[in-house]
Amino acid sequence: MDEPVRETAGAYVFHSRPRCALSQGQERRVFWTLAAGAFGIALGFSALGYWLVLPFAGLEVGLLAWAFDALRAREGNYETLTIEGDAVVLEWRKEDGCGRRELNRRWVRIESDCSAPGRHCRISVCSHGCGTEVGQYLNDEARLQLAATLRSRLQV
Amino acid sequence: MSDVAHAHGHDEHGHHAHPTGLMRWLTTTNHKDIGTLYLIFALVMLFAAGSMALLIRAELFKPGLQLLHPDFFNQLTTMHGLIMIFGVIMPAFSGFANWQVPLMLGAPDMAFPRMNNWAFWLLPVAGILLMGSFLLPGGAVAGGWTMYPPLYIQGGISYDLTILAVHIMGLSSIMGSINIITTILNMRAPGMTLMKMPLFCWTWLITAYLLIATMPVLAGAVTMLLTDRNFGTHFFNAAGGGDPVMFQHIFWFFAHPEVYILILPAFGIVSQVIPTFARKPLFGYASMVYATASIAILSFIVWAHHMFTVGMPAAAQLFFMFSTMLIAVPTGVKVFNWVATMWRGSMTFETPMLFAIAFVCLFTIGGFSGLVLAIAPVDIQLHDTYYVVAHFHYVLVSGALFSIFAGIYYWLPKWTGHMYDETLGKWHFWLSVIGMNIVFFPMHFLGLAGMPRRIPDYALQFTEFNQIATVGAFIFGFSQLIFLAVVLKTVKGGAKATSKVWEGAEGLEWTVPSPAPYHTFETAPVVK
Amino acid sequence: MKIMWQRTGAALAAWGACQTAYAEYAYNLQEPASPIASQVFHLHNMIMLVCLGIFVVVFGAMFYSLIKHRKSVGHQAAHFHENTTVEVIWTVIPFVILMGMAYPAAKVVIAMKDTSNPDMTIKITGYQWKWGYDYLNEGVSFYSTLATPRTQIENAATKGEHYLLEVDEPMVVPVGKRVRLLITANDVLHAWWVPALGAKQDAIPGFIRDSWFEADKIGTYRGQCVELCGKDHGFMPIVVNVVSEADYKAWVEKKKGAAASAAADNGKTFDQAELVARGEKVYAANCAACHQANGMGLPGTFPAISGSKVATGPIDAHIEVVLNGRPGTAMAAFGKQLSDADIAAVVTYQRNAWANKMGDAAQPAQVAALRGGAEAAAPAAQ
Repeated sequence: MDEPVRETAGAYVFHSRPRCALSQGQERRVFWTLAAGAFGIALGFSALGYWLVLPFAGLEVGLLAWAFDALRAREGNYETLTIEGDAVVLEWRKEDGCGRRELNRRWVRIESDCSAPGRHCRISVCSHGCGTEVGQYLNDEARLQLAATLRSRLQV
Repeated sequence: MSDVAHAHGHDEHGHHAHPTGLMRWLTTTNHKDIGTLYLIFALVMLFAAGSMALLIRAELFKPGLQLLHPDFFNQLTTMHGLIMIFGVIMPAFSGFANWQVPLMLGAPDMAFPRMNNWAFWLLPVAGILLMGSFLLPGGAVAGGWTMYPPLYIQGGISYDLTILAVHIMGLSSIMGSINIITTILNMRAPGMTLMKMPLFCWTWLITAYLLIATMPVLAGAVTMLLTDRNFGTHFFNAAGGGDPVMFQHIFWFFAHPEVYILILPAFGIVSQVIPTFARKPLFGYASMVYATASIAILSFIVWAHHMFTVGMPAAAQLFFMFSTMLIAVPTGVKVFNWVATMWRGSMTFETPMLFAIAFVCLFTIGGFSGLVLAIAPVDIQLHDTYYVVAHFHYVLVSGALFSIFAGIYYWLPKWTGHMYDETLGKWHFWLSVIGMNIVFFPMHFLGLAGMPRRIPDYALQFTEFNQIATVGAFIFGFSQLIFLAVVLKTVKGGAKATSKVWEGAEGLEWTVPSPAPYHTFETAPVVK
Repeated sequence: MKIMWQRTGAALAAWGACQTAYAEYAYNLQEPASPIASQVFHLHNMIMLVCLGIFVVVFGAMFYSLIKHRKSVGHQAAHFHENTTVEVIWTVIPFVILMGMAYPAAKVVIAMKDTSNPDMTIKITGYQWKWGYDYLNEGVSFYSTLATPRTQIENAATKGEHYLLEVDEPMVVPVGKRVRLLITANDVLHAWWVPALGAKQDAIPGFIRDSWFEADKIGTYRGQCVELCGKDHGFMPIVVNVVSEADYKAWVEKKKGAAASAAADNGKTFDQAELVARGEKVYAANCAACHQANGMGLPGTFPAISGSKVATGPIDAHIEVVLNGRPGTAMAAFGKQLSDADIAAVVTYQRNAWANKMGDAAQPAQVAALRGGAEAAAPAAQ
């Protein structure tokens, strides 16, 4: 993500990843300090007989666990688009698994879907009536720029 | 732009039509939209709860009952407190966090945009439950925002609805906090290390920790009230073996950290504003971070200073007195650091800076009265009097609320792309600061003289100071209409703001254009 | 900035006022009338003085900076942003100042909590909305309710000097005696406070907490309930008459005589007109706060008595409601608070006032019989 676009030996490579500043170990530590605090306090009150704090601490830690799990699931995500010769190769990893698609450059079209300019555009790489979304981790401006770059690259 | 138009021509995948109008706001997951929603909600609630305060002050203008029945008076004081805390100050700070945290850290959005949307939209539901309870038989809750049993057990249906509303607001706060913690920790741009983060992010990170630690306690406490009321449990009923004082322990175990939840983000905002207008970096950044963290940690061991009159053993009183006094040390460090930031700067006095300076002075007065109240024997004399009312309004009005005003004036040009009207801003400032002192300063004297809080009518010797306070309240209340006018005027138009807006501004949020585009920082900026 | 100067000026004026004009206390705590109150008074003055000193130093520096270090006078910004020495100093100095405050404060805390060796003990019970006093050594018991007439509260009459701070039966204590207070409540939380005596204690239902005072001057001291206790929280004042030892003895004798004649009333039979006249007074003191003087109550909060099923139904059931209250609602049990004669009177009044025209009367003996039944049933219920 530091360098979304690279060009090596004539090949055009676009690579991007979601933002992720914490390592897995740090994430675990943050989660456990939060969970330990909430549970510790709730257990203290439960010991005094005021146990109804405990289920709420449980619900909260459940929500936290879901959030940190979602963060971890996101961590390895990436998308790469390579144009080399006549081959356009898309590779990605999302929460629901990995994927790879090879397309012929001559059949590829870039489509963008914008309801209002400047507001959440999506772009996809289409071939044979079947599109794959790219640039999911970019903002609208960068995504439109990517669409323009790809179009010019594919025209040759 | 031509790309966009061209793309529209052969758009086969039109299945993602983006909603407009009301649906756009209901479904938005954009941090800027949600920040705006939080701030609008807080503004509406400010006027609602502020009107209640004016009714209270109008009744207290003269001894005798003139306008309000005592029970309705109690409903107003209770709802004024609940709404100001949960409906104004907390949502306003969440609004700032939503707008500013991603901008300051160079993040594209919050970590969980959809959860962010839910967190906001729970609030109006809770707000409607609270406000709607005025229309129910028996009226709204009248037992004080602290909800002490057994009085709370006596109430009608609106007492149950208020518990539900507290649960909803608590859930919203927890979702908001999880989002803020994960955003601050995980979404920072490369090079944005924790100790390079703007102080506003630090204060919110610590606030979010406090919220996560204490919200289950509040939820548990109000649920136990609910089961005591409706399902025959005796958690707080002495006749059934419970203890009404334990509710106070549990409640204040939540509510003292809550007090810092209401003030730490204010420290953050002021720490952004003062360096900008002093044209000098914040003095003692690291000590500011440590002071904030110490205040947060201390907040867990001071709760019983709200309960010195329940009859604790001397050892407990001494412990809570000493721990409370200790809070003055990190708070003092903060005040000294702000003054040192101004020292030998090159200051200008635009409206945000004026509010920040007023914050430092007047919050410190609230801090001093807090120190007086920390001394257990003096607190026992002053507990539940107007002195306490004066104290917490100095920290919450001239503290939290003034920092919100400072923040709005500071960032509004960035958000709207227009400069606000400086003349009107200054009018708003001077009327607010003068009005605020006229309302709350005499309350110290009333409390010292022995006027209890939460009474609809008072003895004759309290008349003069109450009349002064009421006059001040109306000045302060109506001058907020100027604020409304300034905000509306700025949203509609005005001089174009540059991307840096303020000459001395530092930070990532000032590198994006004004108004900040709908999406920012999808590609990370590089922080040196 | 003007505000700042005004503020500092006001604070200075306040300080000056409490030093020079010792009788004028509008800006400080009430004139202390007990050793604890005067210790608190001086502790508060000491802390205020320290705060004022810190305020002047810190904000003196800030306002100097605001005036000198501004762009409009051409001041160039320096670039320093930390200085460990300075930061350590201004962490340590406040700490030392706080230690200086903590020591005298701790001494007062310990003195306040020391309730040992009392000369007399009074049990105080908070009710919605009155105070009950039981003199445990003398066997005197009475209730103390607001004496200010409704007409003054509703602005129909000129307000008296002690508006809202006057009661029908003040608490009376001898001067110079160590009085231990056992404080509790009957329904919700209340708090008993007389500022000049320096005694404040929450009244907690089901728990007895203690406090003490020793009045060092003869006089009348006034206070109020200071814990929100519902609708009439603002209307349950406290008045303490501090009198000489001899006057106190005379007062105790008088109270005992009154108690004996009240007990004699319980054995009598009254005619209906007597009961209604007496009942009207009992109603005004005990019932009118909720059910209102016109018997209409407050819709949604307190039910009406005028035309109610209870007041127009069987008389025994009516007496039982008054005796035992309605658990789980604000309706208190008056069995322990009112004598048989008073309950008979108030029930008779309620059945014959407003829209209620029952024409019957309850007698003290009837109340006594139902009271016996309730007490016999109570252990079985547990």
